Amino acid sequence: MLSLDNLQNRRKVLGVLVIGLCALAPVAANLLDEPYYINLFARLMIWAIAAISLNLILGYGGMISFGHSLYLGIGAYTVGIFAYYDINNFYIQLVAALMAGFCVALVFGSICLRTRGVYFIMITMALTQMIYFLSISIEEFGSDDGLIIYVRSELGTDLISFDNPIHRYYVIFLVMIACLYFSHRLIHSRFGYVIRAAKSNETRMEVLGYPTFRYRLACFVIAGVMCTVAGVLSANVEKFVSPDIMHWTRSGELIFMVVLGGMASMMGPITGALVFWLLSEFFARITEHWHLIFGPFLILVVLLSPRGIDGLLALKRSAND
Amino acid sequence: MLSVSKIASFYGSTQALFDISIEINHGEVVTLLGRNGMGKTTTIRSIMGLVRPRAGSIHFEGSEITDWQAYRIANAGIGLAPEGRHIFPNLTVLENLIATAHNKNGLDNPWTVEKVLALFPALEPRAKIMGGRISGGEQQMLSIGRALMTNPKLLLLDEATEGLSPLLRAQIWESISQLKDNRQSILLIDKHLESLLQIGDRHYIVEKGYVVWSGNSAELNSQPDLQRRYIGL
Repeated sequence: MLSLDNLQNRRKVLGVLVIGLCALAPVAANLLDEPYYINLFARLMIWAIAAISLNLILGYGGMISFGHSLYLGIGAYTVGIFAYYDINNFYIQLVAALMAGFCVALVFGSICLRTRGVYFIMITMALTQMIYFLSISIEEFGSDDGLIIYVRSELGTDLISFDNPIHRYYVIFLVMIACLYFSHRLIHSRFGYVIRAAKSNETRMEVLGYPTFRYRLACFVIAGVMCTVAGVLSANVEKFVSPDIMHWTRSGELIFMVVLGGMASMMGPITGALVFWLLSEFFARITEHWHLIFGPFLILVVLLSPRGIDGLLALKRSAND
Repeated sequence: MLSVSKIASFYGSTQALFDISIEINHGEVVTLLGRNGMGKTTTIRSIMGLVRPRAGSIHFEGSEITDWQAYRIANAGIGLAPEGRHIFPNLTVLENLIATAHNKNGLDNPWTVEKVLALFPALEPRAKIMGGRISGGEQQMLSIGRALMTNPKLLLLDEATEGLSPLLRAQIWESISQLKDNRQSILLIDKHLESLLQIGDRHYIVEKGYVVWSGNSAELNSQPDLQRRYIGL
């Protein structure tokens, strides 16, 4: 019988493969003379960062938020609005985006986390849709046509530029690795244990002396701020911000990436984002009605392995046993 | 240390406790006795703030805690190992202990993971196993250990040996005896009267939401009629 260590080894192998693929994608794209793949993988990693942040609250905290893509929008719109007013300094844009993400997550979290179950889902969706409709009502910033960004963020050095696709790619790659590392450290800290324990039995955790609301709120805010960073990067890849990025269906896609990769697994969100984007790309090349294939495929994956790809690793272990 | 005075508690419109008054002093082991459904667990839930008494008062170490939230009561120094254990199944044994550890009361010689594993040696080889995958006896030890990691001045043990084999029960009683030797104050609920008479300093019998008798082990031992009438022996 394979031991837990062997399962951990499988996870490590999968992690190395996924990270390696992301690290070498630009090299392969240049060798194949397909620069399109550089941007595809850059987008994929941005969604992976958003999924890593969602995994903190969904996978480890049990908070099913249908409003997480809001923070992608906050990050992207902050860059867009600053660029609109010719403030292109990356660090100013980043700090402003983080502060905006922090404040919104704090306020929305304080409201949402007073509810449970389906009410939590509905209220996160409602608050996000509120901001979505606000964004399409402001004509100054493009209304529902979106906001074009004419100048990418300036990093203040000639060595690295967001205008260079390779530089941009590796900045996103490093941010993704940093988010993954931070997430790993957080989940294996006392704070992470409290969040995971509260997911299992919140009342019990309170009886043991932990005001779980504060811990869950802190986790909600951390996840929101991390997702805001993904939004900042997204604006620099697309040079465009659309209100659609905040629509609840985008949050649904994020949830699917996390579920597909495996909730509460460290590599799950990245694997999920990778598989989700590459398969949607693949099916889109077969037919313009690719959603008809993609939808049932995703349902099949979830039915066969409720714990996603991470769960398939465990299944493989059982089969080999 | 703990003074519960004439509390009345309800579940919705159903009254579960009518008149419960108990006292626990430092270093004492006090037991709540009675048949199932008489209000023992509700008394503990009322002390922990999980059920809010509508009448009466609860004082702990000089502070009235009747209306406090559960986490405040825990931080004041009351630790609970609940009936049914309620181990966190998604954390390992070690993580279950670390997650709950705190010493808000600044005790001089606080509990550590090493001390808990020394008290319950059976947990040591299981340290990296998920909490939901250990046996019932080990879960009970973990539940007590988890409560000890909050460094309680008063430990509440609800059905500490429920559903365990005689061997495991003996191990749990041995550990509780060690805690008593270390002057740990304990409020204990259990069905094994013989062990409770040995370990308990004083006893309260709860019947239909009332405390109907209180006394020490010698007094209870000398009244078999009382045991038959209220405890069903």
